[in-house]
Amino acid sequence: MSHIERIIGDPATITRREAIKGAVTVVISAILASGIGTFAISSIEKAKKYITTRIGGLYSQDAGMTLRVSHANPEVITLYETFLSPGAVAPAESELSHRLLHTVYGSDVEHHIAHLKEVSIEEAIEETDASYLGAAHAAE
Amino acid sequence: MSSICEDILANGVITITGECKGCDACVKQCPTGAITVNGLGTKHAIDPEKCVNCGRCLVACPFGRIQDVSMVEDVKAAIAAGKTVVVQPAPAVRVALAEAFGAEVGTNAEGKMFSALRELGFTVVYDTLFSADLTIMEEGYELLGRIFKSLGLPGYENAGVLPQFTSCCPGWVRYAELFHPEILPNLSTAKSPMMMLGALIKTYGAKNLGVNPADVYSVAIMPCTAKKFEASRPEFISSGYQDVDAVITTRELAEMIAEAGIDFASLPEGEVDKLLGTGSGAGVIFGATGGVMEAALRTAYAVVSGEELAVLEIDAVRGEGALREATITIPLNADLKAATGAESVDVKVAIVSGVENVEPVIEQINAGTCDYHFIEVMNCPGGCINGGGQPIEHSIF
Ligand code: SF4
Ligand code: SF4
Ligand code: SF4
Repeated sequence: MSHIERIIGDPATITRREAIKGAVTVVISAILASGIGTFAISSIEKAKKYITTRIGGLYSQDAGMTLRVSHANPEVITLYETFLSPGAVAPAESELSHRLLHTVYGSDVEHHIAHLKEVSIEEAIEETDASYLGAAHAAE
Repeated sequence: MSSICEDILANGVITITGECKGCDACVKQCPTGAITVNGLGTKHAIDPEKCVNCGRCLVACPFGRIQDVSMVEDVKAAIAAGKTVVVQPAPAVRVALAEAFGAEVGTNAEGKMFSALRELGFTVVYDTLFSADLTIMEEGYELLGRIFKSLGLPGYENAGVLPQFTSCCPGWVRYAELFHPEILPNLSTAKSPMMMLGALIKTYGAKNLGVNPADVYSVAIMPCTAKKFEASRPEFISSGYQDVDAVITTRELAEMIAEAGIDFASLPEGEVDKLLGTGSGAGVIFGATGGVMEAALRTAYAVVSGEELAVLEIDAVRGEGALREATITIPLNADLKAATGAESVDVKVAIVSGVENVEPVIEQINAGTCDYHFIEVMNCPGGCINGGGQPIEHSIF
């Protein structure tokens, strides 16, 4: 047990499920932040200030960047052109993009799992290559 | 699948310990009424059948009596075993991590975060920012398909129904599955950025790195406890393996850094790895309420009009209100003008901050009176920057 766990005590309850460590972590963050680990009651108003300030951190990072739109991301374009839809940028279209980037919900999940186990990833890659590169050949 | 994942699927991520003082602070924050109260001052419990794993109760508990399941030991074991351990940090992590080391709230520590991950022994450092951009492409084109279908354009007969909801927040996805299965056809089928990158790391990534995907261990650093549940879901095996092996929170990363004796403040500004590491500003703002909407509108505008927005900041969707709406008029490109006979299209959007605030929107949908095209829902008020896995600094209170 670490030094910090000993400080906060309660090891018996923390081990109800071995993997559960959140409360320990909470206290450690408090200790890291304050140096002394003071504990007090939270207040909605202060939490709101946190939200606004962290959001501000994201908006100012965005404002300072040269690449600011998703469709201009060069690595995204390369991913489509070399893998997801070879030779083209075709979002939400190929077999591979449906397999790797889309999912289903609720009662459809079971059937989807069976499909993923039945058709291998290699087959999905082959099918995608055939339809895009095959189409490109036909057009030549 | 690891036993931790099975445990999470059966029992959920969040638990109240025996030391609960029954003060009810958590009950007020829970969006689903999942916390059973036997009376003020008595021990409370969480019903896994109603819990969406968001950790809002954990953040609210003044006594630190609520815990989340940890996968940190699994991650350390993978690093020690010499696996190719690939990591992806979410947008919201970089503006909160430094808080745990005494920096000002909102400080952006992206470079130091990359350095810390390398010092901790992660082999490859990619970025969820990349797949936030990819999500916009997939989800954005899906949305346009649904809109074009509603306009009667040929070729879109198989597109889904309107309105389309975002699907990147696992708290919200679980909420919809548990309480509103009738609107599941309205959820975008796009995976979250974390799950998209997970699927790519063990396919496209492994191929480009020249490693066997069986030797890759994939870790996501998230501001979120619900992401632990999401990664454990049995359908996320599209790479032929479990797509994301472990999720650790911003808090847990801070703990790992402290435990390793790394002096965070004096770390150099590190770099991300290429291939799946570059992200745009649109990906960055995913961590804020309204951010996914703004990112999607920037791309939708460009695709539909053929031109970039003159001003990329879309103030109409910014703010922190619980339910906000806006209408964005997008001029049509020549092809779409010819096909529709119209000059422009009005895209009506709504943003929900705090998952319980989605209820009036769902009522409208069920009554057939909802005219939104696209609705962003974030479980946590303010978005992921205020997620259940972020540092909690009780010292400020
Ligand atoms: S906030 Fe904490 S102490 Fe209070 S009732 Fe909830 S779990 Fe118990
Ligand atoms: S994790 Fe979220 S849904 Fe579950 S009990 Fe806590 S606040 Fe409620
Ligand atoms: S809003 Fe973000 S942090 Fe909160 S549950 Fe959803 S994904 Fe997780």
